[in-house]
Amino acid sequence: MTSLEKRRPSPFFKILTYTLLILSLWFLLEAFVAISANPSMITDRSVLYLLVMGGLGLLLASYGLLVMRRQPSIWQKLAYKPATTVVECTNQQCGFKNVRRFRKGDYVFKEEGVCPQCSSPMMISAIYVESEEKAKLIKRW
Amino acid sequence: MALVMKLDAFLLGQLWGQTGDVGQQMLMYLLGIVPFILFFMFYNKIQMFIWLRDIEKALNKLKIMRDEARRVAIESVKEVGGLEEDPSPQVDQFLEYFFIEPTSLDPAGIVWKLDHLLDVRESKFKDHVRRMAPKASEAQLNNLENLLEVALDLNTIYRIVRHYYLFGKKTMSFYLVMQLQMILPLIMQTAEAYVGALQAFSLGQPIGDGIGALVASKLMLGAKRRPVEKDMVVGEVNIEGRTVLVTKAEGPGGNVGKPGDAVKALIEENAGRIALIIMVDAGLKLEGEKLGEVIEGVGAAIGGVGTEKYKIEEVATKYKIPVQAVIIKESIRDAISPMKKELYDSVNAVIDKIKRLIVENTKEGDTVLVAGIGNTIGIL
Repeated sequence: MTSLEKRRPSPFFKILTYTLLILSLWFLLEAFVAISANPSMITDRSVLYLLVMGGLGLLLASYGLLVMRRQPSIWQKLAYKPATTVVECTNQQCGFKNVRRFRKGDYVFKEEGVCPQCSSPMMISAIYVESEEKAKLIKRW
Repeated sequence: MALVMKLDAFLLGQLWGQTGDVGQQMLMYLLGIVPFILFFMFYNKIQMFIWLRDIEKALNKLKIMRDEARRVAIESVKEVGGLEEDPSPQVDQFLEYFFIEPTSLDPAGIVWKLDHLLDVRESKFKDHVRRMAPKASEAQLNNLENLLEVALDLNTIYRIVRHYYLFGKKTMSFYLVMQLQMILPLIMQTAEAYVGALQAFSLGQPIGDGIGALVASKLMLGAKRRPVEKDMVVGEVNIEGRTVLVTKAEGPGGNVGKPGDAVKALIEENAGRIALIIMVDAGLKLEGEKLGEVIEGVGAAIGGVGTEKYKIEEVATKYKIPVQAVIIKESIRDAISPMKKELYDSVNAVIDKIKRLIVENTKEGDTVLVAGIGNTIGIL
């Protein structure tokens, strides 16, 4: 287990957040049912109390959910992005191209094997990563 | 409904009691006003607490980044080093390395002093890395050195932020904490940029900063390359009847070379008969601008501490050679992270621009110098 894994939200925190969420929703539902049955109940202290407690609980639970969602962002920043290697045939007329995942040891303009179509030498023409919004992050740890 | 009824009975009995009591009304009034008074009295303390909490959170992230950089560096040294012993103590020693800049009290000649100290620093770094990884190839050594420098920079950022955080907390200095909290987004952006570099330097992938080197390499593709000055290569190609000398750092290991020395040497080799110098480099993209946009201008396009820029400007002025620049826009984060597709896609546009500049500004038979600036990691 790395130091990063230790920093993930604890199961206790998760249980607390979800319990709070369920309780808040229950309180709000009870208040809503009471008001639906009798609209004048909206001024009732108990209903008001349930609304306030339910609302506050929902806010706290939302914050907890936000923290749980926000936590992996540091992981995403540390995760490696998949890189693409483009290997092209050096014969301009052939135009054969092979796009594959980057392998350690690849570098741009490295000669790599022969073209399966025309037997001319193949060369790595590009190594790049897609923009972050497009790329699916690789979880390394 | 059941819950409402139970609650109603409970509240009536326990919480509110009898209403209408004047004392109780006063108490309620005080309970309402006291928080406001407390807020105004302790506003600074509350604000300090919020800022310190922000800094603490950022500091935790910086620590995670620093630790991961150290871990990746140790793993890479173990992988390519070929040593049985654990390299951690040597890596830790590297992470604390420092560099003292020459004094500027007497600025005359400071560029050469700085250049000399940078050379010493680089050779010291390389020796240190070679001792840690004796079986690594030259390209792997360069990549490892770059990787360790990233870890060193992240360690420095973490140590400095921690220092000001603890100092601010100890002295409860409002302005110290405020300044640190305000520049925190910039610090975090820089640290995240370094994190992006970990992938490139540990795997040997091209980085955004290498776009100048990539353009130069593509221009001299097929031409015979020869070394010129330290860690630099030059190739000779013909473009529209002009002899074009293309220089870049020697790849594919992580290396920026000494473009200033290479430009100077090539101009002197040709006895100053260079019609035009074109520099290609990554330039800072402002927020809202497009990544990979290609623009042109005048002047020596080269970053760093300024020693290489000084050398190019000196020699260009001496021989009255015009210096033009082609810039590819990218952010600091893009510059040291693995090269993005948008940047790679701009290479042909840069080459077209260089060809147009050559045709427009020189005549057939002239010699032109093109310098591709940047770290050539992952690029031959």
